Parts: sequence; C-alpha cells; structure tokens
Amino acid sequence: MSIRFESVSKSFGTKKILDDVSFEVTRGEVLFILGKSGMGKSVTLKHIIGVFAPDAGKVFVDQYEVSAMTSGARMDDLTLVRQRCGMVFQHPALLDSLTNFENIAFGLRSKQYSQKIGRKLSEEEIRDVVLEKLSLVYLEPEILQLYPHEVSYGVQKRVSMARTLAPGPEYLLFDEPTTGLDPLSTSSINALISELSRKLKVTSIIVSHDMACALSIADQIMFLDQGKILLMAPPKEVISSAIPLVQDFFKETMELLPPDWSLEK
Amino acid sequence: MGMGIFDRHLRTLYLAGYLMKRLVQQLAKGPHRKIEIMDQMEIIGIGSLPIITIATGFTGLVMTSEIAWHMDFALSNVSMIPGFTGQFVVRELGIAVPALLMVSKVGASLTAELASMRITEQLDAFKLLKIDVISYHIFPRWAACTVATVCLTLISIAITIIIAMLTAVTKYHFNSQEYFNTLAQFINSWDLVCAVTKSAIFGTVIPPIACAYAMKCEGGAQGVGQATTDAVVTCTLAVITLDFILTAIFSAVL
Repeated sequence: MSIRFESVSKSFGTKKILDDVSFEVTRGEVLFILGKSGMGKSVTLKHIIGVFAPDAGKVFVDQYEVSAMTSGARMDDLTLVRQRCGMVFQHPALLDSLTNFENIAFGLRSKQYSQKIGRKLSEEEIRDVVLEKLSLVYLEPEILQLYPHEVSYGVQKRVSMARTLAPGPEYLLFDEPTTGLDPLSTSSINALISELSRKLKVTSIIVSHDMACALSIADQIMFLDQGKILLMAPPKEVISSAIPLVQDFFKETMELLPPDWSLEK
Repeated sequence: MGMGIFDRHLRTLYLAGYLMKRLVQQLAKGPHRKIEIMDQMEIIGIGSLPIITIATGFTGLVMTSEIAWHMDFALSNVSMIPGFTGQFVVRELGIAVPALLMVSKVGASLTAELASMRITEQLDAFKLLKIDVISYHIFPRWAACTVATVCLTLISIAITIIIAMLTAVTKYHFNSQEYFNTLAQFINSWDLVCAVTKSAIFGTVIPPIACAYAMKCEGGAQGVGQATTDAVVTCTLAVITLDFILTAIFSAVL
C-alpha cells in the first residue's frame, strides 16, 4: 500500500514543472514536500488524484496506475482511487451553495461511498459522522447550519478538513493547509494535522512552506527545486544536510523556533 | 502572440461546443435537476426582470419618438407608427435587447462565478467528490437561462409595445384601439414564433460560452476579470452574428 512516482515529468507550456521525479510513500508515513513557490509541489499532489496526467512517467496509488486513468474507460478506476484519497486544498474549496453540514456530508451521501460500505447511511448516521469529524477539527456544531461565507477563513479550512475526513480516506493530501491563516490559526492547524496523522494513522502527504511543522511531524521530508527532488530524507538528515536551499529553509525556521526547541521524533 | 490569442479563443469555443453537446445530452437523458432549475429561474429570470423592464421601456420610448419624427419629417404622416414600431419590436429590438442584457448580466455572472470556483480549486474538489460540474452546476443554469430568455423576451416585447402605444397616444393623438388595430395588420403569430425561436437560441448559447471561458480561466483575480471580459465580448458577438443568420433564414422562409 503506497503512493509511488516513477520518473514523472510534467510541463505547462514551455515551463517544465516536474522533471523525472521518482519517490515512494509507504503506508502510515507522513511525507512533507517543501520548496519555493512554483516548484511543482501542488502539481505533484494533483497527479495523485488524477487532476493532472504526467507527460511522461507513471503514478501509482496502491496497485492502481493513476496516470493511465485520467481519460476514457478507466475513469471508474480513478473514482476508486479518489475514494481512497482525501485532499485538503490550498483554498477551502467548499461548495458555496451548501451549508457547512451539507459540505461535510456530501461525500457520505455519494453513490460511491454507499458502494464502498455496502449500504446507504441513514440521515442519523450521517449526522453522527459529521459531528464526529467536526469534533476532530475542534469546531462547534453551531457552524453546521451556516454557509461557508458566513464563517471565517480559518473555520472554512477546518470545515474543509472535516469534509475530507468524513468518508474515511486512506491517504490524506494537504496542499499548503495554512496558507492565508493568521499565526494562531496556523499553529492550531499544524497541531491538528500532526494529531490527525497520529490518531488516524493514515498516510499523509503535506505540501507546505512550514519547515518547523515538517521537522516535528514528518517521517520524510522532500525538497523540490526546479522540478527535481533535491533531497528526500528523514528530519534528522535534513537538519544536517549541506544543500544550500535546505540550509536556508532550516536557518529561517530556527529563527522562528523557541531557543529550547529540539527534534523529538 | 496574435495566433496565440486566436488559438486560445478557438480552444475555448471548442470547449463551449462540447459543453453544449453534453447539456443537450443531459436534457434528453436526465437527470433534469428540476429543483435547481427552479432556483436558478428565480435568480436569472426574476432577477433580470427589473433591468429588462427599465431598459426595454426606455427603448420603446426612444424608438417610437425617433420613428415618428422621421416619418413626420420625411412623409408628413405618422399613421404608420404602430406598424413600423410593431415590426421593429417583434422582429428585432424586443429580442436583441433582452438577449444582450442577458449576456451582460447572466453571462458575466456565470463566468465570474465559475472562474472563481476554478481558481479557488472548487472544481478540483468537485472532481474528488465525483461531482460532474456540467451536470451539477452548469445544466440548471443553462436550462434556466434558456427558459428565462424566452419569457423575458415576451415580456420585453409586451412592455416595448405598450410604451410605444402610450407614446403614440399621448404625443401623436392615436387612440389605443386604433393603435392595436393597425399593429395587428403588420404582425402575426409567425412573427411571435420567430421571436420565441430566436430568443430560445440566444438563451441556449450564452451559458456554454460563458462557462467555457470560466473553465479556461487561469491566474487569480486578474484571470477572472479577463475571462469575464472575454466571455461577454464573445457572447455579444455570438448573439449579434446569430441574430443576423436567423433573421436571414426567417426572411427566406417567410
């Protein structure tokens, strides 16, 4: 059970975003993808759920070759893969026309989810799951009847996480989950991701700029630069890396960390 | 660069064609999403009523005054006002003005809404949730826009003719009975059939073009603005071009 990239390349126009990228994330691992903006981090995530197809190379989620499913007859297989993956987007990406409750419950009402669990959930069961996921992201039930535009951006992000968690994904993909949040919300979302990864023991891939969070909760940290993997290693090795970009990231992070901080993983 | 822009517009129009095909297929096979269509009818139809009423009312006023002035100046006779205004309204003005207003109000709103959804990754979320954006989001708006354009066109024709009649009565001393009797000699039910057909076609083409530009939108707020501008310009040109083609066809048939 893993997510595997084999020599994946992707260009948009003349710009090469991913250049012969290969890596593997095994079950239960937490991988952080770090790098400067525009280096292909989000594009990497979107290859996993088949939003983008590689120009060359292969992407596997478990036994499924996602890169071969993005069109034609194998779209049904892609649905199976997408069922296994939950993605928290850079933006909350909630459906504006639905209440927060309906947004979280959306995946639970789908035909695919009913097929997965072998039956249709009753309205009471859906409500129970929604409330359970809501408590996981530390939100109160009062926000459920509100529409996304009636709550703050931070709450929208949490609702988005609850929606992602609701159908019980085996893989969690986070695309810059703390972008646009104030420092307090950022640290609370980071704590949440860390807790979810440990509590739910799901395989997580997190695209972020937050090295401090990566050092605290990642099993592996991958640096992407100019479309290539600069380094993929556990946090301890990342700290001692001599690669200039990695050192720069680490130096910036150390300035933000408390003086008594140490790596405890 | 010129070729690049041309190529981009061509690709977008190709996508609009694909959207149209999918929408017609859904119309034939379902699901018809009646509740969402009714909601959109309220937003698009009722929401556009005030602007259509005001705009076509003033159009009727200006048109009657202009036609009357020219008739009086050239022929020293205003007896043909009902016939001329009636034909002009039912065959052209009463159809084109609402369609162009629908482009600027509904087309722009459809593009801005969907383009914003695209740049905020809601469309990616749709894919992950296995929601077909065409079936779930575009179809109800398309169906509602088509029905609303037909209804608003008929309302617009009625308003313009009433305003034209009031102008003729108050300014040129017609009586209303006389006005409608003369009008009836110049327009018939076939004119109304043509008006309904034209407006239905205009209402049908606006949403796919608007949504295609939204789905091709790139970048942030600037991208949404550009997509909306492109969509409004293209929809306007499409309405004017189709108006010419349909008028030529109906004239040939008549």
